[in-house]
Amino acid sequence: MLVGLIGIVPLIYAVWEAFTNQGVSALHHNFVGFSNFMAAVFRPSFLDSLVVTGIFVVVCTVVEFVIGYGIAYFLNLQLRGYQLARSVLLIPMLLTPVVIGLVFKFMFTPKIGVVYALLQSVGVHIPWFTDAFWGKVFIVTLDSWLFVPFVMLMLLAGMSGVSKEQLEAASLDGAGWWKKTRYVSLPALAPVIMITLLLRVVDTSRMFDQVYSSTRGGPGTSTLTTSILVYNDTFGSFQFGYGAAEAVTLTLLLSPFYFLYIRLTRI
Amino acid sequence: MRIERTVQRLVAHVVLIVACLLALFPLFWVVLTSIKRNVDANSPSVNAFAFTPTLQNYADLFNSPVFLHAALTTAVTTAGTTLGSVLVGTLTAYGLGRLWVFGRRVLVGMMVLLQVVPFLVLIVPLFNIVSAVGLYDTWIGLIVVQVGLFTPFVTWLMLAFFRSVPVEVEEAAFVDGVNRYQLFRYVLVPMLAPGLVAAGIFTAIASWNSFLLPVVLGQTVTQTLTAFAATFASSEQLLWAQMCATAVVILAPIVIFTLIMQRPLVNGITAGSLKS
Repeated sequence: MLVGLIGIVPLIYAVWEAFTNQGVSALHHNFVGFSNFMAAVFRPSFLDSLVVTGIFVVVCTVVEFVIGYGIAYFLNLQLRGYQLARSVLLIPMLLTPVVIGLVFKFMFTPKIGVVYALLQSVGVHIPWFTDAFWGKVFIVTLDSWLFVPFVMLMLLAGMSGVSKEQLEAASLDGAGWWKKTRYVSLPALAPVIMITLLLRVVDTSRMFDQVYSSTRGGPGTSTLTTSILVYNDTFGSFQFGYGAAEAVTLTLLLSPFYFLYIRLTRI
Repeated sequence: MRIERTVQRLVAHVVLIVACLLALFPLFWVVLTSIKRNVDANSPSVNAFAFTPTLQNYADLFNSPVFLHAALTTAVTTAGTTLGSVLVGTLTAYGLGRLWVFGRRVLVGMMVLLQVVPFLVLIVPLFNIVSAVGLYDTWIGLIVVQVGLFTPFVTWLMLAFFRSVPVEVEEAAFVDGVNRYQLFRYVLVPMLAPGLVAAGIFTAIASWNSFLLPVVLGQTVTQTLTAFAATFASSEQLLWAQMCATAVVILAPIVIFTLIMQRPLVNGITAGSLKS
């Protein structure tokens, strides 16, 4: 059994390494035709997609963090019904992004969608799927609905580790909510916040499923993230080389985050 | 002071109730739409509650061979992926945690890297390799690839749990003359049960939700429920009621599962990401 186990371990590495090597083999593929690489990367459509992705990364991360922090703060008061509220609020992050994308598309559709109707009843007409700006707002809303729970849960776990004594001591010294947050909670939460933000940045930068099933990059190219562009180039126009070059470039651009993450998780 | 506290509690209740409603509303709306006729689903939301409920959409789904095949595919690949990843991942974690392995740091680093890089960067090579070995559009091909991609996460999670078991326990067991199989079966598995459950749940949900891989690695045989649902996005016929019925079938198991498995889930999410 010992031999068996030791035999299994390298085998596992082989299986698993096969998967990582594929990332490298994609690189090789690109360097064979280096001009192809340059052509793909310095196209306006790719650069535009990077800008769109960048906007989503920044806006989604900030929005999700602020809302997630707020909800976690109130949950952490542990009032009556807190367990139930946590259970309910946890659900969205585990749901299927593709399906949620479809559902949101339905709810926001002009004329028949319920969100559209609700806004209309207060006299607001928002062209969710025909205006570049509102298209982006739609994606941010969708992504936030899905992933605020993640931020909330992480911060809640972190908050249970913040010392109650310190908070009470600060109250006695006359510190208000802001001072307590600024000088007691946030420093204690800093490691958790760091990991949470990093994970959200990494995840938003590769967001695909929910965009694919809702706007698919539209209207125009206003929500065309790099992931969607890579998919279109690869499987829409079968330019495998372009798709791979774009995906590799995105990965390289984000590599500082990856290495920071690896360092923070040091096993 | 007292007033301040009362106000704070009031605000907290209001915020949490609103948040819960926002979290639940889309789900409620999907269920509501799924029991409408398509004509009703496509009428303006002002008349949202004026309709005769029908289960026709569900009946249609469960009479559709394409849907049933997709459901079977999702069930089989989810089960296969979960079993495979948890088995391989746990053994790998044991190897990395207890045995001396050459290049351990690099391996672990690469595993973490594999969890954060965009899936799309792996898609083309995976597609080529899977086609080359003749597993394109087969359940096995999809399962093998998913096991490969989800194993790092399981390994990583289980490493955290292995660390909570002191080496002395194993040494004591060896002194009592057990072999490695018995060690796993009678000592480690019971101690690691919470970790195994958490890893299993996460892999199962990730596999159930996975969309890009099944779409890229096959067209017909490996059409999963998610791929089936996505066909509604491209159809011009506005089959919203049918789409919602499909969504309910896909989402309901997750919601039920989440509510039952609350504790291991919460532990898993936080233990997997926060280990300090």
